[in-house]
Amino acid sequence: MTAVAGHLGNSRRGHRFALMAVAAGALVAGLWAGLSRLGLPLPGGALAEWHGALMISAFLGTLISLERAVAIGRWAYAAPSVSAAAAVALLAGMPWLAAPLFLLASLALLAVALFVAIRQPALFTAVPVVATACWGAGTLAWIAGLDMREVTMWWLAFLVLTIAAERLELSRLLAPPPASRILFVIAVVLILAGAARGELATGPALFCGIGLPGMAAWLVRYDVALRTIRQPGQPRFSAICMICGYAWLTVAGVLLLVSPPDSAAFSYDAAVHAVALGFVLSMLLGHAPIILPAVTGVRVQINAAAYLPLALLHLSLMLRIAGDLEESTVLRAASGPLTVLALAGYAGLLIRTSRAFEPEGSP
Amino acid sequence: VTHVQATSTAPIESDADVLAALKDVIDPELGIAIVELGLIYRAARTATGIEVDLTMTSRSCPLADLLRQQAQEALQARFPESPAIRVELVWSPPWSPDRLSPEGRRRLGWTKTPRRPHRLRWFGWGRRQ
Repeated sequence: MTAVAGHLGNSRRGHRFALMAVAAGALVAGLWAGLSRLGLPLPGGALAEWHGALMISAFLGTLISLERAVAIGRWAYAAPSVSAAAAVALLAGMPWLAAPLFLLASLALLAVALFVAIRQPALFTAVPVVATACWGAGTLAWIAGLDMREVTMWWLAFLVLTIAAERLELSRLLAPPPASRILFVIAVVLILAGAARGELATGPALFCGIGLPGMAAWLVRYDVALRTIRQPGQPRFSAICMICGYAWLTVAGVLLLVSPPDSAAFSYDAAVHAVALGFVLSMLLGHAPIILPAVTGVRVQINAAAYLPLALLHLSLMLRIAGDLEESTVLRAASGPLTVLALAGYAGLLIRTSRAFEPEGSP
Repeated sequence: VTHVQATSTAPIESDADVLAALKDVIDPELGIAIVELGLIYRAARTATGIEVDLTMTSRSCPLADLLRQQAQEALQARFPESPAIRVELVWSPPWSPDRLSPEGRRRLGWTKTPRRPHRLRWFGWGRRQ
């Protein structure tokens, strides 16, 4: 028996691979839709409308619920399974079916978060409950036909709070003073207030403009990333990904304050992508080599080359924000392919270093 | 922050050889061994074999199965003659930072000496790392 079979079991492993494949498909489609939006002449422009839903719900929603399912097991697989079904529906051009399925997936993930929170009541288990509720709230707003910007605001809150909760959990390793949690809660409440006000649709975005940099400041102060950066290899790479993310979260807040979402043509675009690309995707690059072995049973290795796609991701985002602020179509259009190149290069790197688990001495 | 004695980080039943065999099982996010993180609650060698109780810092940690598998492999490599090796995931009591070993604390940059009193210390700002 190989370690892979021992670790996962073949049918469960197949299930996980299928869910990962759907998430990866959603990512590719979402990036394609994003490039269309930037004005690149690509076929399949109908997809462009669903860029946000593909990237956040179909790709990241499926991935986050799969990660939880790996930890909890069995019944928790309902969330990624339904989310993957919703993703397929969206890709098949049936948003009317995808939206309620995503709502169902968010409820299933909510049940998982509640299960964990009830077993171990703490701030770090309560925040994922709130975060998941944001996924549901955004999806409800989508079904209700609200402005897609309001929907996106809720969905971004889902991502930011999910990641923040994970880092809050890790920060316990540094035994932060109990009162630091009050500051964390204030940042969470500010972000939620911003989402509830639909700040991305209306501007001025005072709550998020303070809440996002507030959260970033909290993370810089209490997160383990500033300690684990001393450990070479994988921990250092992950830490740098996180720290870059905190910088972008701060930039997003500043952008929301100095250039509210409704004040210029692309100010909304700049703030959303500072969070989504700068914070969320940067975190994802650091997180992928840690989580992939646990989910797929495939071991990947991080080497110095991984810093190239990471740097390219952040450079492409700088170009994007500059293009947004200058209202330069050329800069914006140039940034998109560079972002995709960074992600593709990183994926290629992981694939090149990947190998299945083989215990020593096994045939 | 409570600075507990180093002895409280030791598992209740801790066999030095078993713990030594687990030294190379590293948490991939932190780059710190699970032994130093205080994730081993029990490391015993009995007549029937080796028994290890392992916890995670959080129930929603997806690395649990993977780390358990790696612990199992490390023990099998170190004790090939052992009749049975059992690594079990346990959740009680929940992990807390008090369980970090002195080495784990050092790697995470904990202060060695008690901090001087400071009004802002309540929020941790007065801390000198």
